[in-house]
Amino acid sequence: MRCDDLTRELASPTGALSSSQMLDHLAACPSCAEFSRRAEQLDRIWEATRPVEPSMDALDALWARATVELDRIPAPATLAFVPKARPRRWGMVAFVAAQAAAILIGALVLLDRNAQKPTSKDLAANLTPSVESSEPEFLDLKVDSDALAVVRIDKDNGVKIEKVDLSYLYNSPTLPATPHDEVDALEAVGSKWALVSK
Amino acid sequence: MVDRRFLLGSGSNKVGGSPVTLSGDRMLEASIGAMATDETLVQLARDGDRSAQEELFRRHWGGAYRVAFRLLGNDQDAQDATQESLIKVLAHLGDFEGKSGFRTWLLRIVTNAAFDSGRRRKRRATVSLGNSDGESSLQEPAVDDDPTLALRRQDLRKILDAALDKIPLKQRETFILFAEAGLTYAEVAEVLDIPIGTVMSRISNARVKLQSYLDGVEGL
Repeated sequence: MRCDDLTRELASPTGALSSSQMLDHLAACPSCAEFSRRAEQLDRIWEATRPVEPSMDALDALWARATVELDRIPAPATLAFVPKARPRRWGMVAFVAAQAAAILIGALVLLDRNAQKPTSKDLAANLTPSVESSEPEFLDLKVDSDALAVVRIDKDNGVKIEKVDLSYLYNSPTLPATPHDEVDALEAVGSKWALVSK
Repeated sequence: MVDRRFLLGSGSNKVGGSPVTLSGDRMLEASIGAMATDETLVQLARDGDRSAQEELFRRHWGGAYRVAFRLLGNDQDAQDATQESLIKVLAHLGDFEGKSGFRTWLLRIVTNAAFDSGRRRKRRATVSLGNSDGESSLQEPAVDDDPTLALRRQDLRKILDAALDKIPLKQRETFILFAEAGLTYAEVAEVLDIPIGTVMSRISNARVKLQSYLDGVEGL
């Protein structure tokens, strides 16, 4: 057994080494024995300083305070920004966004004719934000093209067709490697949104 | 006497989809409350069952607080972060998809709340454990506690907290979730949304650094 194997097992146990194997090595290796001593020391200090759990009376008081807060909250809301049903008042925004996407795709198709495989930099340079809204919105965009766009939907900045970043999409494990299918919808990818193929 | 922590509530409740009449039988309530899984309680709480909310709150407050305390190094900040997180979680149970465990979900919120709190207030250099005696305000005074031991424990907390302060934030939160919350590598990975290999290397690095900083410090 190598010293590295043992110290790694002591630092982040996996159960890969048996106790007898480890004890044998520790008995014969002073530096690993020292590492083990330090590890045990950390464990002892950690145990000795565990934060105290609340008493029952403290929990009663905390729950009483919590119920006041919970009663004050009128209706369930979403914790994180999760776009759900499209409100009717956003229909116009969606329509405008769809128009903008059509223009965008048209530009992309033109670009595609001029260059077989445009770089993301080329595509991004030809895009300008054309749709904005003050609230999050889910947009269904039907696009018949092999072009993909990254769209940022931000609570503060509204909806913006921000840039085309093919390399980002190609490298994304959640998206198809070759985006030649019909684009169906927007889907969250990290903090960004992307047009996703069917 | 029935431990209040295990009471699911009085009257009729649905547990696991079947109506169960609990009225007049506190022992039954106690056993059902203790046996009810987080998933069952979440389902009930989501439907507005206040006693299920209470059970979740009581069941998880302590664990969440311990993590917050280790992250923030301060009793009052940890209490605030825990309370705020649990209220937020209970108020937004509709968002809980059940892909991860309730505890994992809660600890993710707690970790974020502690991070935000830490940004608002710089992590305090000295440990305050509530009152001037060095004990948390949450804990009833232990009459039989050896004062020398209590002081020694307080000193150790300060030393450990200073050591935790020296290691990078990402390593610190990963190590704390593993060592204090007792999460598995996979659960820590889920809470922090990082690969398991990263979890293991962060824990290993944190441990080596902590061991080095604490070398020569005697435990209790």
